[in-house]
Amino acid sequence: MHKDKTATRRQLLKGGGAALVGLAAGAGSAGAQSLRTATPEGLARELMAYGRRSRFVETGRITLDNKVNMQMHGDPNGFDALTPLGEQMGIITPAPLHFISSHGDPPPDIDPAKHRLMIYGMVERPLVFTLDELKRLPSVSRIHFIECLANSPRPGKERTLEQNHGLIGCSEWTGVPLSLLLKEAGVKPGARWVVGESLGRTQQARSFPIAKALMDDTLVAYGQNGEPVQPHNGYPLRLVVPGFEGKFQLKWLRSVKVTEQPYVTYWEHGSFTRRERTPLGSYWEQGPKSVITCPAGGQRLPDRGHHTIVGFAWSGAGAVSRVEVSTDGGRSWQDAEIGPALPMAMTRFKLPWNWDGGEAVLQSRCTDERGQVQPTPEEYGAFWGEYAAPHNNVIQPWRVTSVGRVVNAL
Amino acid sequence: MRCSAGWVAAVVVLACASAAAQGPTYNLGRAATEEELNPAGAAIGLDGQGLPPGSGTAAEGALLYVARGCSQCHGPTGVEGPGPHLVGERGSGNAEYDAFYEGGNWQGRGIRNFMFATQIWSWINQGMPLNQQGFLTADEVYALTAYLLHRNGIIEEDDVLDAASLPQVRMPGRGTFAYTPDHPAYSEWKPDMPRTRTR
Repeated sequence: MHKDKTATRRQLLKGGGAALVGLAAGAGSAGAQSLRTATPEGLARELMAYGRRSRFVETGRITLDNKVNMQMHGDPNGFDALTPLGEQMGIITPAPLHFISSHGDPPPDIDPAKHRLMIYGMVERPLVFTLDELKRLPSVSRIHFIECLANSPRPGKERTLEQNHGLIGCSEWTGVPLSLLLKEAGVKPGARWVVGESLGRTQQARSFPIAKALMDDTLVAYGQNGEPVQPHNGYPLRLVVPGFEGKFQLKWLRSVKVTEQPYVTYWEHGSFTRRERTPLGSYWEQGPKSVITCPAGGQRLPDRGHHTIVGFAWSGAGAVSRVEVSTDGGRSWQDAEIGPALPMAMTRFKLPWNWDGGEAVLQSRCTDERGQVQPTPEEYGAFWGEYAAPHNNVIQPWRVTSVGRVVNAL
Repeated sequence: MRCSAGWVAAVVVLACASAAAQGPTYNLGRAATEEELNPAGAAIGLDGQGLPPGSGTAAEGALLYVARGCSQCHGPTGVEGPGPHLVGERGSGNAEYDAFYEGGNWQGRGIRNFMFATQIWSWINQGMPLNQQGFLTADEVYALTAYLLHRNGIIEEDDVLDAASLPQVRMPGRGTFAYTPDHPAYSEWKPDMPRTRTR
């Protein structure tokens, strides 16, 4: 609390300083006060029903071209776009800016009155729920990240923050715990897996252990950031499997089947599994991971002097307990201020930094509540026995050049 | 005595919790119909659980391969591209594509490297034709699976594939892998499994 106040005061001081400079500049500037022009009354009235950001704000998702889709998914017709992470101001990713990785699925146009969710397979009572019925059940709201398993930093000087880390978003999800629905249906003895199935054109389905489904944190979500889940994010229902790879968090959820064994679906073999000879394999939990989002690859520092290094950390295993930042290429580390640190949620960190105009390598390292530490590339390779491009949570170094350009130093 | 009473109370609580888990609490939702329980395009198990009724042979599949447009992407004999090669050990022939899939999966290693024939059925049923998924009937998926298995020298041209015979097809790429629910590939996730080194 105290620290927040300090930060606010610092921002005010910074703002005041800018205003003084403005005054000193004199004629031609706005001076201490901003210029004000009227919003057309018609527009102002139109925005009363559902607001819109200022016309001066143009941040958007970074859409991927089909060549990238082909490389990433073997899919020439992707609907894939990156979260503009460098512009994100808090731990919540606005739903319209949340990354999309839909593998060729345009969002189906689902009439919520006609949509049904079926719970079936190894259950006593296969059940079909309407959306209204789901909303009558006890619900929870929780803040969780969703990260694509392909969200992996890759080498290449020109690769930007978003190219290396933009397949993540964090939302407040509102919905019914899947465990509650499974209890209503009555899970039969011997059940070990659940298979989520989607209504999308590519008929995506994923298997994951029932232990996760029964942990109460897995949600059938109808709300995202206080309003219905957006179509690109799964309207009207999305499975939220906190901390797990994004591939499990099915959009346009139509059913959940309880099974004895994992099912093998189109999207569960091929390039989406571990590169070993098993018909199915997953890394399950994402992270622990962190990345500095300012200054970060693709950005430019305007001037030497005071900067605030900011970024995000997250872990599929729980809450982030510590983020360390190095400004000297990893020789020394300082603890960054973190918070709020919610389980399986993006966690903001910050550290004041004075740029002296020289070259610097900035990087961050996350530790989660289980004591897991974000690895170096060498540590990552040693743990997994390979240095795979997908599922990669290695430390991301950014090099600030003497002219303030920030480039990927991985 | 007190301990004993506590123990009895605990058993009662457990029994109640267990009983509650047996029946629905909220009584919302309706029973699923038989038709709903077998949705089109549903996922299936490696051992064929969930396979729908229907059947097909390689001879039928050869006609469907052209009639349903498979040849437009995979080539007249399955090796001309531009889509992944369907016959032989190697992938698409597209260097960039092959490099990406190198060693990882069937696209990079050929269809013989599917470990279970049910995976091929599932791949076609859920994933093909690209952007027209759900277009093929169950009979057609059985026939096309039979065609690909025959072209790769795994089954005979007149072998009939259905829900009973498909899971029995032995894939050469399966090697020594034996499906058991306890294989690490299936059971490796635990609530507290390490994801990376700890300190």
